[in-house]
Amino acid sequence: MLDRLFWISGILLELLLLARGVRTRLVAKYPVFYIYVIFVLFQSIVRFCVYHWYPLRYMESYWYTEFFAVIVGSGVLFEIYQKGLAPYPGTARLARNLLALVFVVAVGKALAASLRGPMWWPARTTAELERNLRAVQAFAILGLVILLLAYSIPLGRNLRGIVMGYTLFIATSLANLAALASPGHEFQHVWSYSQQLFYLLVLCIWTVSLWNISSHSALPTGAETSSPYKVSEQQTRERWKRIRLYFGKHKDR
Amino acid sequence: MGEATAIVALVLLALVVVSALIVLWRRPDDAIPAATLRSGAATDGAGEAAHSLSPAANQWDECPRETIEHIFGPDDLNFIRCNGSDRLRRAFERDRRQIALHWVWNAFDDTHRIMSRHFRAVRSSPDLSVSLESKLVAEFLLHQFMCLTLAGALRLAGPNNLTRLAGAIGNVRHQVGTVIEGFSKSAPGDLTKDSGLQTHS
Repeated sequence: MLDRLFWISGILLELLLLARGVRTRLVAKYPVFYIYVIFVLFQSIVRFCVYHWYPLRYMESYWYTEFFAVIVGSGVLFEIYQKGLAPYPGTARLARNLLALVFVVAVGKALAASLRGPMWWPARTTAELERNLRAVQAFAILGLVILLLAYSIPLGRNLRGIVMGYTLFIATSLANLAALASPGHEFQHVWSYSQQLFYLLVLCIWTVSLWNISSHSALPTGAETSSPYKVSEQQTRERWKRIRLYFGKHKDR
Repeated sequence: MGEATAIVALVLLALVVVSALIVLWRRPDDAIPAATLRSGAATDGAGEAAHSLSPAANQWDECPRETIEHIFGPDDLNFIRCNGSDRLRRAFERDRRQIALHWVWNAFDDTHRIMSRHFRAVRSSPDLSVSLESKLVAEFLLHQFMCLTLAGALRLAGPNNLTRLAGAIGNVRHQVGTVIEGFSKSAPGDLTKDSGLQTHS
């Protein structure tokens, strides 16, 4: 009974989120995110129907739809990177390098695993594949959060809501995958409710933050009069030099 | 990777992601108005910027290096020891530790401010160099780590004991240096000579 209530609440919230998106025209601003929401809505309805009319097929349909949700979700991450860092070309380049590093490490790990076994792709099941992809997403979002915090990059309420909701969603997905892999069915049963509750919380965060279009979404290009990078870098080193002298460093490179 | 290791890794990763979420949530939403940024960037000269970091920012210019060496040095403690009062020695050590800790935290905070300022100044630079930036961040992290280690050591041992430790390390370094120098003199061209290493050709 409770799981049905969660399910229907989720579908209603997804519909509300979409309706607000169309009304506020945020759909045009964040197209990938709204495609993701449409996909998740479709996924929820399909799963609900399968659960009721073909319960034996439910697990199969769950993992297939989940795999595609992870792929579309990765698109949301790229959109966050693209929209959030658009007014900051230097930081965006840094972010691209960071993302490339995350993916190179992931591919390197996959190749290293392939050397140990006959399979090229290290995942033996869809759950394992999702686990790997979610881990890559988690590292990508951690990199983004570090950049946002370090460079004090303002996101605006809308994008900030998307980031926070998606970060919470990834964290709960990782915990869910850990619970699935763990022995003990009681814990898995309890966690399945928590996972649904957290997903409703994610939808609430998205609905609230995307209810209206944010007036200050990002700094317009050219609002900051920045000096050339080399000059700023030299200035920072000069300032450091004063402090470093007291730490026994007499020369600065 | 074993199943148990995978579970632990996933849980840890989830915790790190949740921590990132909390930090992001606690950050004031877009607290830096564009006008402040513009004025900040305009007055971003090398000289005055360092002075406007904090009320105590001038300490790096006003406080001579000798004073710092004096704080961490043994002279005052030796003088107090001559008086033979334990109470006075304890009070002196407590005060000296507070001064040293204050100095270390100031260095920590000022470096952090300098770096924040740098990040804000360069975030929209189209010519931002990824390698230079990575190097700068690595140096910054190393410096902060040094400050934290020093603060921890000060809490545990106090500035005077640290001086003795530093002196001991300095002696060891000197001895190691002498030994290495001896090595290089005995085997200038071929490192395998006189080193006990055998080559089979």
